[in-house]
Amino acid sequence: MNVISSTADAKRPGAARIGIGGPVGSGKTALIEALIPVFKARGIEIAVVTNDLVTKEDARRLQAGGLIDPDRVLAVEAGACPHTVIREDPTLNIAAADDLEAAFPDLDLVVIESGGDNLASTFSLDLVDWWMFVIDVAQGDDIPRKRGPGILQSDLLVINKLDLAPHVFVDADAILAEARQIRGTAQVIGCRCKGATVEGIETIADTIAREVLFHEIPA
Amino acid sequence: MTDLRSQLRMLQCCDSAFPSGAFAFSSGLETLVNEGRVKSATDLHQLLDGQVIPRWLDFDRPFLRQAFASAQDPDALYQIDTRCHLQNTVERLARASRRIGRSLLTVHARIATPGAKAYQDHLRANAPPEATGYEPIVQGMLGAGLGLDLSQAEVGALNTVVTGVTSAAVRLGKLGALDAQAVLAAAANAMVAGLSCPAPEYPGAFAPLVEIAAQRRTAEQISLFAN
Repeated sequence: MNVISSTADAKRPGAARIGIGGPVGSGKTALIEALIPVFKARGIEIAVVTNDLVTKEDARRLQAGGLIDPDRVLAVEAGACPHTVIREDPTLNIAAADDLEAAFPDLDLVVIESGGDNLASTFSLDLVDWWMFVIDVAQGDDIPRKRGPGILQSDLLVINKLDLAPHVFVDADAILAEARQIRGTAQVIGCRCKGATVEGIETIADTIAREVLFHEIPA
Repeated sequence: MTDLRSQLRMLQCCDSAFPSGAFAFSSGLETLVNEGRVKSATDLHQLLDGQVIPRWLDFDRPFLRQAFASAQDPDALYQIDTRCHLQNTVERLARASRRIGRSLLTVHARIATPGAKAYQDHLRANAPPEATGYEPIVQGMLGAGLGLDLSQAEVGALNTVVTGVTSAAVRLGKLGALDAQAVLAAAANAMVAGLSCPAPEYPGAFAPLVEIAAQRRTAEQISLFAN
């Protein structure tokens, strides 16, 4: 007799799985690179699955960056439909996450990075326990207004590259305010991942630790 | 007469919406399209009839039948899986077969198809992921677990392969969705003829066009598919 499971495999032991989605070039890989040392400092063991459309570019970048053991990074070549491999048919990603958990039993967190996609990209809850959507200010100040499932349904909306706002003639504070208005009580965090100083990374790490790993961190 | 429940389960598992990861693979078709060897619905039909279907009948089918007969015995399945690995000489096709097979195992373990969890656990405990979990072994074991008869399991597995390659051709822009259905209807003749013949006692494959095409894909090639 077959059974009906809940959306996620609720009884699955092991590491929590989170998704990072968003349009190509919005800074998903850079955000992971910024988060890795923060997680390491907090003693949170992580591994990463990347979903490049047609190459292993993101996985190789992380493996070569020296921030994480290269064996803790797996690439899933998703083909032409990055939303397919995280939503309609997430089985290749599930298998990759399973492989990482089997190889590294002490993992706390498996980060699954989507390939670049449009604002309609969402994660299957068969694959992840929680997911964030990453956009950046340089894509235009109307992105939150355009809504789309990624903007509306993600557990966390990250607006990246705040430092670029003046260079592309947009108001970062206005974008953040509009995004917060559109998402209601759902969280929005602005950040920048590169440069002499970073911004918002600790807040994102706090959110993940609190909402996914159930660490006691004040909101 | 096959019962309605097994027919429904076969339809469920052969549906293109059933998650198996198969959408990521073209079985060499992408290279053939890029090289101008497959340019139309007619070319695709010939490829299915001359390469894809015969390769499945000669290689995958015997392994599926062996796995179907040993579905209750994880260790016997593992031995069949290992033989399949040793006889797989086309690494890119073998890798695709393993990834699809292991994805199927994951899904069926989650929905509690009889036998799936036991074999998944057996592989995790005993076998390296790069050498086991081949698609026909998993399909044969699952077919028995789902209560299909052997014929249904074979039809379902072959149909999955043929529809997968045809779907890849649509994504590659070599035919439209309606033409694809005409190709599938025409390919049914070769599928029925092949399945009506006795299965070979020993697996063996000779489909050089798709096998070499799958291997010829270079690391630098920007592709829509993983093979």
